[in-house]
Amino acid sequence: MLFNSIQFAIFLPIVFLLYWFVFDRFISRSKWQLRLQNAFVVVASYVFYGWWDWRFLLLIAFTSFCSWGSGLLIGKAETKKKAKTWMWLNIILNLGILAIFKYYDFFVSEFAELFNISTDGLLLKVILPVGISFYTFQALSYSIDVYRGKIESTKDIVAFFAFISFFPQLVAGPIERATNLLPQFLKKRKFDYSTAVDGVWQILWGLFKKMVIADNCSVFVDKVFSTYTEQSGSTLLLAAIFFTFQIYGDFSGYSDIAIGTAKLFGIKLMRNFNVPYFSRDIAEFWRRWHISLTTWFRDYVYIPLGGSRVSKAKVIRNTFIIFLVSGFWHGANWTFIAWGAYHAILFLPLILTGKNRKYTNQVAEGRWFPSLKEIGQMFLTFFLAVLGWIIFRAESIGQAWEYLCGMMQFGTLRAFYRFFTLTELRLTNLFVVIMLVIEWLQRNKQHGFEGIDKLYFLRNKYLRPIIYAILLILIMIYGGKHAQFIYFQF
Amino acid sequence: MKRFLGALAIGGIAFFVFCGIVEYFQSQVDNNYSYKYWYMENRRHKVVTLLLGDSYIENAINPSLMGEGAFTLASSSRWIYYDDKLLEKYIADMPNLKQVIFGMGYKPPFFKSYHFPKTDDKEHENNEHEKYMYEKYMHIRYDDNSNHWLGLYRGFIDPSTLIGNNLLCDSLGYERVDGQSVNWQLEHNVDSNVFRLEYAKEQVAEYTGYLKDMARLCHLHKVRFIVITPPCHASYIANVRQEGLDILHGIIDDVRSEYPVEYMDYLQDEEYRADSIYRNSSHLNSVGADMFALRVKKDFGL
Repeated sequence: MLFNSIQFAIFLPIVFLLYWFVFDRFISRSKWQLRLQNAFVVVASYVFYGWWDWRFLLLIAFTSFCSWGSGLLIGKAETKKKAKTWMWLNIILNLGILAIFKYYDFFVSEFAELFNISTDGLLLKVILPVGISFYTFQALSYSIDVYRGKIESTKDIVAFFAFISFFPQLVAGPIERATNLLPQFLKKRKFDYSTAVDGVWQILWGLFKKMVIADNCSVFVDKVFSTYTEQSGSTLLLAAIFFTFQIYGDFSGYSDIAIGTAKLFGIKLMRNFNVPYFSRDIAEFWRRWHISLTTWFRDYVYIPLGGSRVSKAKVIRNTFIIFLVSGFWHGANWTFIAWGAYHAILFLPLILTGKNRKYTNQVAEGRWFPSLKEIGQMFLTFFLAVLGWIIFRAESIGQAWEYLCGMMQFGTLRAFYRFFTLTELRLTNLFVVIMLVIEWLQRNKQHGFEGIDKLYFLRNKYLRPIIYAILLILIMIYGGKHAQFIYFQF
Repeated sequence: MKRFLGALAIGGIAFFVFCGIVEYFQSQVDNNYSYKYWYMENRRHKVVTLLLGDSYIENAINPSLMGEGAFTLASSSRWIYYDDKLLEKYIADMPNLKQVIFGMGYKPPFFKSYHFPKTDDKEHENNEHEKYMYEKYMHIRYDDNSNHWLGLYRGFIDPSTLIGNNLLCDSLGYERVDGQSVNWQLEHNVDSNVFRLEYAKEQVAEYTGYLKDMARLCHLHKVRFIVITPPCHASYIANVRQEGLDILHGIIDDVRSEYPVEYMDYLQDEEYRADSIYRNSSHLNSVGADMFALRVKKDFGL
């Protein structure tokens, strides 16, 4: 079920009303209330997920059950060694499932090509279950955190299933940690009016980014990337810039809708994006882009490898490992690995000179406008990100290389002028500018519309919902054609 | 909670009211579809020669040169289903109608895949848009359960056309196109996707069915049914396959076996070789449309 679909528009209010009125209010005296409400979350989440393909419900249930069971076994283990064994068994099982569905065919094909062997009968050709990378990592975090003693294993299987399958973030994150999300399913949730209102604003902001920014950008981007050999350098750069906004609008839009939806159910999810295109260097960019995945790799891969408190050679190794694995997490294609390597190369000088944590605050803090130096830094970081997205978007390394070569023309810089003048893009460029202005003004907030109801004309309780409706209509009118969320494929 | 639900209820009501307002304004926009609908609803009694089909006819024949009472009900990208439905809707109440001229291009019998899921997204989207336009402006549904008129839900509201006039055709339904497009020989040319035998069999059967129904309606109401294949540029003909032409002519033979049909194939006619009469590889421009209108008028004695 897509967030920007009529099915979800019907599904969400029904689930919301049942969640609060049937499973919270009417059976509130029952000792089973919490468990029943969690069971309802699981059922609703499975309906949401099964809308694509019900067969994969068995897989998610299996993953959930094994991870829950491993947590119990780790918790009960008499020795650290036994606990470690159970943890590793769960890691191997989960990564094994992920490998079969996501990477098996890729490795077999590459191996066969390398040794000139036929792949007949060797490929599985299975469909990639939606969101498998997201919920697998969520399940892994639980057993690792139980082993590390950061969280106690839970006997409540229903709450655990709800933690893994919670529908707003099931298919494209944020990848939640058990330490944050699981405890919320173990205690009674309370409805909070201001949180719910903020959730609605965040959903609207997410829909704007997805439907108006990403879906409109995708029209131009798809056209140029499919005919890149015939395009001028400035058109190629322009399409790369628009893809940069498309992927941000698409993915951060999804995250905002997910976080906003969770707020309606009294659940607080972690932030996934923090105005990444206002970063002053690539290290800051990675602290602001897909935060839930970046911190996941930091906590479960980078730090266990020694992090940056080891020799320089090992720091270089660790940095490359984390970026390559992060790239490969996105999909079984060399382009993702190259994209990871590209960012590792950009990151390396910063980490070796100890400047990787130079910018931990918000840009132009306490000021309306950035300094010239900050503008230059943001521009350079953005441009480096654009080059990276070309590799990410390309279907092969060869295509990425040809695309980049195509951009190396004298007139390429005209792209910045054409951004504002190309009639083909119609209003898309204006919407991108609107998004950037709002994000700049709201850069210290959780999302673009946070606190917007404090504005004078939005304080009126009757006028505010009408503004919701007008905004929604405008998003629908100016939205592009329905397109799948890019990150669903990961 | 009550406060929140109250706000959502107000927002929900406001949302549906605004949806209604947007749909209403959109339905009031003037365009080729709404004009042709209006003309058929109000002026159909005057029509002597009715031109049906897609852009191959809409742009290829200037009705003002076809004699008194000619009107182009043809419309670009139209699937034959709508031609049949329009004819069925109006023919019984067109007392002066003498002939129906239907344009059968080389592509449409194989190409306009309304039903086939294997067609690409772009094609599917175009088809969905067509269904929306016919439902919204000509009140013809694709099927009984179709709800394509909901432009907001379908994502077919074009902000630039929300209010205003998008009428491109003249009072006789003719959309005049002057000059040529850039890369005109490549535009609208036959590409490898057009002639897909795996779809052709089912598609051609459906096409023939609708054509046969149009012939039946004309026969029933004693109206001449003329089918023409309009001329195309040499760059287009170079990609035309004999196999396709055989199927095309087979369709006419099939219809003729049951109902009278007058047919003329101008696809490779020597008279239409000049570059200057084409807007693109398969569509005549206004100069070509004048020429072709006079030719059809002469050939069929209109």
